[in-house]
Amino acid sequence: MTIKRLAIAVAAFSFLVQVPVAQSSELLAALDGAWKGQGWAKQKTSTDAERVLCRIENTYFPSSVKLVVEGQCAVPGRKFDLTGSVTRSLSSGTISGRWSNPFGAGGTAVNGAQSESQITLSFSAPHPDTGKRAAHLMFWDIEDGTFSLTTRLRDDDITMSELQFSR
Amino acid sequence: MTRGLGLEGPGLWAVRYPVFAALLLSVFVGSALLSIPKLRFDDDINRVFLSSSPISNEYRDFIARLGGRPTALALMVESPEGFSSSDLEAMRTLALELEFTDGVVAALSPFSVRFSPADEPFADQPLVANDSVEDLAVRLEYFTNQYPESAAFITRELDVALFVLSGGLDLKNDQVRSLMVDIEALAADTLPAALGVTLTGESAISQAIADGLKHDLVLLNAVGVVLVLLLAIFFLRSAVLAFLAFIPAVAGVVVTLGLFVLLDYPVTVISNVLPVLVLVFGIADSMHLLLHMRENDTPGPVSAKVRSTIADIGPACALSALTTAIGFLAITLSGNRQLVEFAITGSLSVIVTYITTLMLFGLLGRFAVRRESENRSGKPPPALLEALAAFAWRHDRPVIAIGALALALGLWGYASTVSWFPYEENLPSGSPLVASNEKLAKAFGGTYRLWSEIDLPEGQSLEDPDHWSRLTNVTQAMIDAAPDYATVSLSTFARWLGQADRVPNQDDLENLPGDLRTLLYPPDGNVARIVATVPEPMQDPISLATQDRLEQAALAAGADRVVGLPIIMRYESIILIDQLGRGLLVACLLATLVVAIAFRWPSLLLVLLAPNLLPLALAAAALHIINNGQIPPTAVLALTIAFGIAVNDSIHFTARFRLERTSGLDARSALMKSVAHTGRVMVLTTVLLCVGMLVTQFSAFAPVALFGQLMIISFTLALIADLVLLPALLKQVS
Repeated sequence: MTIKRLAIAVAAFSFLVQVPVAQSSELLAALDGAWKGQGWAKQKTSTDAERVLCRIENTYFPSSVKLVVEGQCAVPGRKFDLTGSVTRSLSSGTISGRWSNPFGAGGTAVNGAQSESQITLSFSAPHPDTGKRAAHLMFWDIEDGTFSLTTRLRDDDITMSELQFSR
Repeated sequence: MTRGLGLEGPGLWAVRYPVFAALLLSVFVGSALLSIPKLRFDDDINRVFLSSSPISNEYRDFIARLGGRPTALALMVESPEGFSSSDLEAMRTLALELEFTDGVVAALSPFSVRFSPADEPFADQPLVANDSVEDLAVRLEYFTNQYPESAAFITRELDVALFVLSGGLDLKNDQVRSLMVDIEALAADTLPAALGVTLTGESAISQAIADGLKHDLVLLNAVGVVLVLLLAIFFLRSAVLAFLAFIPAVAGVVVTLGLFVLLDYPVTVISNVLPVLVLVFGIADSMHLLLHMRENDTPGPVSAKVRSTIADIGPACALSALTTAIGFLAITLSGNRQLVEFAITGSLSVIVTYITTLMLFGLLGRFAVRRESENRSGKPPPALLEALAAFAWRHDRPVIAIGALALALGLWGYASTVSWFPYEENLPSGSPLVASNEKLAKAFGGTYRLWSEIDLPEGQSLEDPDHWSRLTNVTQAMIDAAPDYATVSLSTFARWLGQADRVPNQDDLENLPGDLRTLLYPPDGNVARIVATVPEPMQDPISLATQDRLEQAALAAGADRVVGLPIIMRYESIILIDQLGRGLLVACLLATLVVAIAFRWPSLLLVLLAPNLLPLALAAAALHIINNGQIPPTAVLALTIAFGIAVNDSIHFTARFRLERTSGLDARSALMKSVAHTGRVMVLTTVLLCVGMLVTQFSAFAPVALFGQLMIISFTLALIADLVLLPALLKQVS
């Protein structure tokens, strides 16, 4: 392989390597700013879904590829903090951080990965029905100007909340 | 000759130095005119009641312990046909949006109500789980039976819903107004147009009163000015004379409004009537001066006639201003801030108006003489007045006896009135808040908060079983005393959690709205509170009795105190009426004493008291007819001021009588001549005062309208007493 082809290959590889990094940065960066969200959430798997309204203010730090989420969600008469931060690892591309879910999970560590337009995070938190530790999944689906946040019980495959955010 | 204590001096000075006087008046009145845009309007609900009494001080201490006065608003949503599913959905959206509205600290509504975590089958579920009306009806029925002391914020008929909103502490008026605008706009954007929406509550009521005041001030003064001018033209039969009488009165109004700004006092519901009072007072004085001028046959230049008129009439006018000012100043005995301001402004304005009137007469009186030949006589026939005086002279003892009997009956009627002062009467009539507050009281028991406090000694907390037990006992006593009112405390919250014997912990307390949590049990742990939402206590006798029962039950069960605006409304009004009554007595005695001293005629004290107390007593008794036998503070205010004004005619009459006696006439002749000279003017000024006070019937405020009615009754009866009883009494002391 000539140096020129190696250079091209390295450049291509770099491009290939860089593209996922640039994409994940863009995904988190796309979440920067103020959002208004609405949707529903359940306290237990068998209870009715309750309408929820949320306001969040995200701050993206490009140097550390970190997104800090701060906000509140409310049902009538109750307001809950929605806070967390996730960081994209430059080397592995995985996403990790901490998250406080107002709908029962409490503060917990989150880990995950991202695809083209979705970030998937998993975490362990008390099961809303039994109180025992259970695996949860959180999906952030990001499109132009909107994103949705869905939480689900992994093993029961039950969706516990769905929120749609817009600017 | 009477002594005006030198107060006729400004008029004489104006005659002597007309240019300086004109300049001084121009600057004075001009400055007042320019300051009018800075007028403020009172929108502080508490100032209506608060005084220097222990109850008021306890309330102030309570507000200080809270950290400031909370902003309390209530949004009522109604649908005569009952809410539909889409209505519920829209209201839920509103409830959610309110959580994020700037300035709203907490929002309680049917959508924030939840079943107990220990409940079966609805553990920790919201009352309104979905937007199904049928489902809600079932859940509401269950909730009402299971939690009778808790508020559901929606009626069983599902036709009225309540959103109870708390704003920050000690918000400024413009902040409250801005918050109200935001909430109303949000409701308009969110809710269907078919739903009735009213924003009420303590803070909203204050704003509605302030808005109504501005409108009333403009209306009363505009109508008053036109009415008084027309009257002056009618009585004086000359547009020129009418304007000459009118100008000083209007100057008095301008100066009065300027005094509010100078003293930095806001215009209130009751002080709103001051400019009109000053208008009629000023024009009455002007008419005395002008009509005397017409009969003045002092030889020499016009200025001599003017000086002579001022010297003859000025002292009596001065005494009138003094007695009226004394009437106002007596009101300061109430200790109520709002009334003290009214008293100071009123007393200053009548004195300043008198001086302004006299100075303007000194400047303009000469023009009245020139036009005199063009005037036609508009005098009512003196024969009737002379006939009345002659009758009183012939039958003086029966007249006095009847007068005494009437006075006794009047005093008995006054004594049998009931002190009653519903705060919401301060709302402009036609305000939607009146009807909505009635509906809220009927549907939810009211929106005012009554607080019971239990002090916790330093180092102790509710964890102590004794304190927890006391809280529980007081809470239950309040619930038992008023089962229809919502009562909340940490005890009811513990019951809701299904753990009545355990003090809720921090995690449990997270379920309470933030402001309620700190209000019921502040972080410093020095006090625990129970709150009951109640209607206005003086809405009706049942509400009053229920609140009394609630208060007594709380204290008997161990509460250290019961405080809140409802307590102020309940007691301060009666304290106020009592204090004003004492003020009225002081005004009567002091005013007549001043006049007796001025006349150097001690027996005049009783002579003036009788014909001026009698109209007041009868007017107070008339409350049984015009106000259901209830006597509010404004009624006593009206009687106090009416005395100060009505005694003016007695002063003018007695001054004339004295003048005629000192000129050598016997008592009867002096009396008949006094009637001939002053009787007509007394009738004219009384008619003027009464018609001027008719303006108050255009007011949007019921207290102002009642104020005017009592003034008219007092003036009319005072005139009759002056024409019949006073002559009889003068005969006795002559």
